Amino acid sequence: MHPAIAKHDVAHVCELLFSSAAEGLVVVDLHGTILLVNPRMEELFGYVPGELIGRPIELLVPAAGRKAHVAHRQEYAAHPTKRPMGIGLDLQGQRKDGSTFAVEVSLNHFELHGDRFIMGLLTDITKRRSAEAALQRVNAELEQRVEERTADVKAAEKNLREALVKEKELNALKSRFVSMASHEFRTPLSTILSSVDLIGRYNDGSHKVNVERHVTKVRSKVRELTAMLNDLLSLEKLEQGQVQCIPEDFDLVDLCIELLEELRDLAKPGQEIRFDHRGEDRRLYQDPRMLANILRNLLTNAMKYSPEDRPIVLRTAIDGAQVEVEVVDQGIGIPAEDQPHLFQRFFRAGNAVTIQGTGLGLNIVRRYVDLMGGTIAFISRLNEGTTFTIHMPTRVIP
Amino acid sequence: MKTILLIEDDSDVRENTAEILELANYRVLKAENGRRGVEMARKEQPDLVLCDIMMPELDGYGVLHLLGRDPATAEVPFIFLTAKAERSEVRKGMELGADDYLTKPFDESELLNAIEGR
Repeated sequence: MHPAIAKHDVAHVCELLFSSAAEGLVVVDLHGTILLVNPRMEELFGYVPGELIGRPIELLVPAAGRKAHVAHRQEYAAHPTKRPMGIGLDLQGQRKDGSTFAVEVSLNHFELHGDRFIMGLLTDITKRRSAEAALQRVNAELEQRVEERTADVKAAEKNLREALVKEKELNALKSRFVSMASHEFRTPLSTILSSVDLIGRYNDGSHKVNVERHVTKVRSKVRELTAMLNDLLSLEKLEQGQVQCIPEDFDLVDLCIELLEELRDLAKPGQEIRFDHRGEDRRLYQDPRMLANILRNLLTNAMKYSPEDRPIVLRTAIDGAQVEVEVVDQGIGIPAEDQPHLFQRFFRAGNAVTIQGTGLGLNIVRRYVDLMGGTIAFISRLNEGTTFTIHMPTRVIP
Repeated sequence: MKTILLIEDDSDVRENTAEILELANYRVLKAENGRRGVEMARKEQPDLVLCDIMMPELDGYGVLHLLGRDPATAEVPFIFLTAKAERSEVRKGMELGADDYLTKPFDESELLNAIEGR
């Protein structure tokens, strides 16, 4: 004790502490009867001065915990120590009006004149509890935000990866395009340039036949180059999702006959194209331009990859809601190892690399067939021929 | 009259090139693939070989290799006609012993100059 406080004043200071403490103080006997409370204790629990004296301490415990409290109290009375009450428990006190509030209690015991007493020091921790709850809420919110942001970052990363893959694909596509275009455009350009040189040689008027022959060659090569460019443009449009299936009602047989008329000039000598339609119905509700493109592509392929004097067959059949289209050739066929890659952009089969072509046609065909709601498959044997078969609905739902 | 062996699988390019050479008073032997070209070179002993690179059966590099190994044809000037404009392709041809190369499309004077240079 500091000399500033005289010994005889100690009782007075203790009295002051007791009456003005911010904590509630209570003294009970070993039976739990309240012997002494400070004003703060009465205030906390809503009793008038003196009202609690002689009452059981369980009066201050909510009904649900009373029985357990008696047992705990007896246990404590048997082995009293200085310790907090109900470690890890969410302790509640009950006011006179029945309402409850969160409390923290520390226990002590003492002896006076041979009797033992238990002393409780009680704090209202409602504010601390609500602060804790608020902190928990903030923590939970923070965690959730972290989770959300993590998910955002992961999604952004995924998008970035996908963009990177797409970018790489585009780059690969670009370089394959450049190498294809370099080769496939140079060969017809060679013919055009040499034909023009030869036309120049024959310009004295006496070689009319030769001039005409070369003019025809130039025309046909320009057509070839234009077709290649069209394929590239189709691919570009398909890539950008700009191609749509625009259905209308038309006669399938008429479309095929017109198409064969158009393609007749491109056939090699003896390459007869036979056409056969099965089924009474001839009308489709589909995109006729797309179908014509598909057939033009498959039929020119059949001519290109077949020798002279071998027939090519175009077969169509309408059976209920399905139309089947087959293009059959007796050409060079597709090597088995190349078959899985046949529809890939710029892919050329091993036995076709020295034949002019962009490697785009079948890729475009398959995309058109998709847009028309159909499927395409083929069966091929090397040096025997290839059959492409398309199935699609007679009425497309675009 | 000098004889030129022209090995080229694209029939239009082959016919037009031959026509230009014939009008310039060369005798032209035509082969549509590498294997046939090698046979004709051995049999006919041309004064010069013009040869495409990408061809079925046997490509231009193969033709050059076979002709270079055979003493009867090793000394015949050899010019590649190539649709591959990449430097690496051109270098490969020259390293294999080609005397010159023409990148498609080539015009009449480029063709005749390359031949007269040999």
